[in-house]
Amino acid sequence: MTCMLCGLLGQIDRGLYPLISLVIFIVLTPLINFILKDRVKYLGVWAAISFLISLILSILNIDYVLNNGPIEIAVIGSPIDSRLVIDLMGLFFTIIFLIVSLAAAIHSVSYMEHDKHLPSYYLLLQLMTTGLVGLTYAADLFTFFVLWELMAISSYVLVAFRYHLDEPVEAGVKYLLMSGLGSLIMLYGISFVYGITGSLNIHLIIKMLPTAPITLLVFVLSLLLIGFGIKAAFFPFWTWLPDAHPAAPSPISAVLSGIVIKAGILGIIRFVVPAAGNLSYSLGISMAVVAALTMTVANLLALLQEDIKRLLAYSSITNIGFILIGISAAIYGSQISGISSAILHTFSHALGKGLAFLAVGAIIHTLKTRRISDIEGLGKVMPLTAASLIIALLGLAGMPPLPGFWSKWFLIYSSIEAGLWGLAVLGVLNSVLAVIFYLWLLQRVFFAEPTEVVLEKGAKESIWIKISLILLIAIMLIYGFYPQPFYNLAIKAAELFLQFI
Amino acid sequence: MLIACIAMIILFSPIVYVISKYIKSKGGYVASIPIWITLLYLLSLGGELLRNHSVFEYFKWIETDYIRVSLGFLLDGVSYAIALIILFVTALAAIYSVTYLEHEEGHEAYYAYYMLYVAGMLGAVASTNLIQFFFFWELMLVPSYLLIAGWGYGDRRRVAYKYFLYTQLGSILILLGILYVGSLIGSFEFKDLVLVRSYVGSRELLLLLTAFVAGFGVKMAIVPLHGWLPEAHAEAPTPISVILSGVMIEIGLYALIRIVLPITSSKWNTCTGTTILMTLALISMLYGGLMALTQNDVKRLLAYSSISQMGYMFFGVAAATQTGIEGSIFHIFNHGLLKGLLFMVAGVLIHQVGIRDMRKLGGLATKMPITASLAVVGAMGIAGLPGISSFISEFLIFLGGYESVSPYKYLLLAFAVLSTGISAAYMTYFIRRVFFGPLNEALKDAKDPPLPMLIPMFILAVTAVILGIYPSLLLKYVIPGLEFVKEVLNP
Repeated sequence: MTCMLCGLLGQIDRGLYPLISLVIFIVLTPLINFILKDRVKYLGVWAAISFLISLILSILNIDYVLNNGPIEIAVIGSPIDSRLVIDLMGLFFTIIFLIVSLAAAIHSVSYMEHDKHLPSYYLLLQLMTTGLVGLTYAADLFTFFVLWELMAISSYVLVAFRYHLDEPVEAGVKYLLMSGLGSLIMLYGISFVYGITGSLNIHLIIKMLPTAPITLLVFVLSLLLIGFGIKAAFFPFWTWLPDAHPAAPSPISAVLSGIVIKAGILGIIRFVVPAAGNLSYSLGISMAVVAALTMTVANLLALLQEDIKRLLAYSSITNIGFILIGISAAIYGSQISGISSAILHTFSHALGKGLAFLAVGAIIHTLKTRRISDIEGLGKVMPLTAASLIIALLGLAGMPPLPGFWSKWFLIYSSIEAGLWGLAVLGVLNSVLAVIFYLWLLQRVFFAEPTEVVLEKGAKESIWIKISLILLIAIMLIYGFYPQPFYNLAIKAAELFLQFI
Repeated sequence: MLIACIAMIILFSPIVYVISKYIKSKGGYVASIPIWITLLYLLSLGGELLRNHSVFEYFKWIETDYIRVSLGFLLDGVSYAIALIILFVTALAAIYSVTYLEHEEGHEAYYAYYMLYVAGMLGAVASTNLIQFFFFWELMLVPSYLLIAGWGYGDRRRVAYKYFLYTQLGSILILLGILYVGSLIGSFEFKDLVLVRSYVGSRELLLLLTAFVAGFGVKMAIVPLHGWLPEAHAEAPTPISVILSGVMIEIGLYALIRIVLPITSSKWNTCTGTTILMTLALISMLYGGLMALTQNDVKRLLAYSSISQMGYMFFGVAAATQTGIEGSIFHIFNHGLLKGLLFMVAGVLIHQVGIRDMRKLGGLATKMPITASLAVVGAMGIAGLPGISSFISEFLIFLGGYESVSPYKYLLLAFAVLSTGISAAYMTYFIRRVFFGPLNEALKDAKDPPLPMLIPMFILAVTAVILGIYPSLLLKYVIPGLEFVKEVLNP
């Protein structure tokens, strides 16, 4: 039996192990549920173990992928030549996705302890992560779309998981409608791609698509961009995000804001950036305009929020705007620095936003409030939570020694290098605006007199919440003081990706 | 080894946090340990510095095919003296904090931020490339903000916020300038900065010069960008005022010498360039001095005096001569000593008497004789009296102004010397109002502070006097190391 298993595994490429281990764990989840019986909340630990193992396998694969270059695997029995690709770009995103999912799963053990239907919660979380990890392997639009939908459908249910409350259900339905519309537009675009090129394979798309008539190309790329853009919450398609992300349970908010919206970014980098062809000038400029509007408008809206989760949701949109700086620079001219800075900031933002939502989760779990005016003076009662929130926000805003600094200057650098000066200036202005604003928040959270709510209900964080917060803070500090491995990976990923296509 | 020293200071941040939970304000002694060790290490490098004119360490921070950022540490004529004064003043201010903060709360956080603040300043001064410099430059900002907002006086949160806002707006210009320079020459190393002029025309250079002077000018509090300084320096907790005024604002000037001068020297070292910049410096000098004359609050007076003194230092650099820059660097050192000393005197008044308003003070010389005599040393130093180190540095600055290429240098120098008179005026006025004259009834129980406050002040005063008599003790390290400036000015 074991021999057979080994033989089977031997035929599978090592690069796929992270994905396969996730699937194996999902299959075993009902069994574990049966064993745990009353202590069902510890399913969170099980999910965390599955993410951890997958994460370790991914990290071990870095060298393998570096040495062997991109490996393409045909999916057996696929009618339209579906392929999986194992490359560094995908691995980079896999690592990002798994780190945040891991922290969210650990956090959930405490956060969800009083909820019902926990087995389905963890199963959905695992499915969502599997969908995310899976789509990093997609080398054609069909595979990408299927795994995208796996991730999306799980996330609709997770947003509305507390279905006995009004807010999550309303937000979940809105999210479902918007995101479903996005998927449809994307599917429509994909069908055009198939019509033009006769294939969905990335190589053929890049070769054939730019030869299409210019109006058709504009149309197809717009459809794809809108499809990805609704998921990634660009201006003006973000309206669902400030409702959906706050309504979900906090660990799910962390996953949604930290990584799910990044799937759209991956899609754009994989399928739109290289296909721009002759359109690179006009597409670069229009993406720059979208980036500028996304970050500026969302940044200003964030200033008005009184609900801390809504504030974080708007901050996610701002950061998507920042990532778009890199993408527009990549389309416009400086491909390597544009793509690598965009994916670096994806990493920074995933860590920072994950940490921020988990810190807010700790606040909601003990204080049962989301109002900023209620959590003033939190630093005196729950120092770890308050410090996590501030580290996360300052890290996102780009204060050293935190990750945001390393990715943001590189983003601005890439746009200057590409010659997009206006975007660079706006980027710095927005960044400073964010710092200035978050500092004001810091002041209220740390130095103000504790409010009644804080004094009355404030209590130490549970061990699971502590672990999840410290895990992310530790990774952020490593990144902040020793950015070399992250830079190296991102730049290698961008270089190899450009070679690959 | 310098990297180990900075890492040690950063690592002491959590260590001091834990220790200070138990020993409260005495954590200041622990906080000063890594700073003293680093200072001793730097002093031990003196011999090597004399032989090789610079000490250099280089590590890879980001090393990829596409982008390179090194983690280098360079001590030469420009950075050595400034690094020394940073460590010297911060170590003494940490000890000073022990008594000064004994009645406050939250010592653990105070000292934890303090360590990060010191590491930020030291790292910025020892940096060898633009990104590393900006990293440490921003690293020192948040802790200093937190220190003012958490332990300051008056409307401290608004004041700290204003400080942060001003500095961040300056940082916008700095960051854009840095990245523009980096994208031009494809490198962020300081030693490559002279290449910029061969890539761009005179218009871009002028733009860079303006952006950088405005950006760093905020930190240096050059009039009219000084709005944050009088409030921040006056309302900060006194040990932090010592650091803000004594060493932090000078790092802006250091950046001008290290970064802006090499890039734009062809634009700077011209008749118009030096005249405009020297005039800017002169305005700061006179404005700060005149405003200091009208202040009633001790710390506000000292804060305006810092604006004026910053004007002196900028004057020397603006002249773009080797003598002037040498004088400015020496003056940074002396100003750190003397302004540190005077702010500590102000802290003694707050701690022992509880009054900062000079209208309510007077006659304290009989009650606190040691403090009074130390204050006189500090005040005379700022006034530029011979025998105290700052006389020599001011002299060098004026000499530098005389050597500059500006056609209006005699006029500018006349005003600069006049400003020394103003310095003497506000300093003697300050001494008279606080320490002489009739003793206020409410002050009759005042006495000299305990030793942890007195000893740092005493050490600062003695150092200032020794350097006044024997300046080459420090200048021998500065002068040979200034080859860098010579190369930059005469390419």
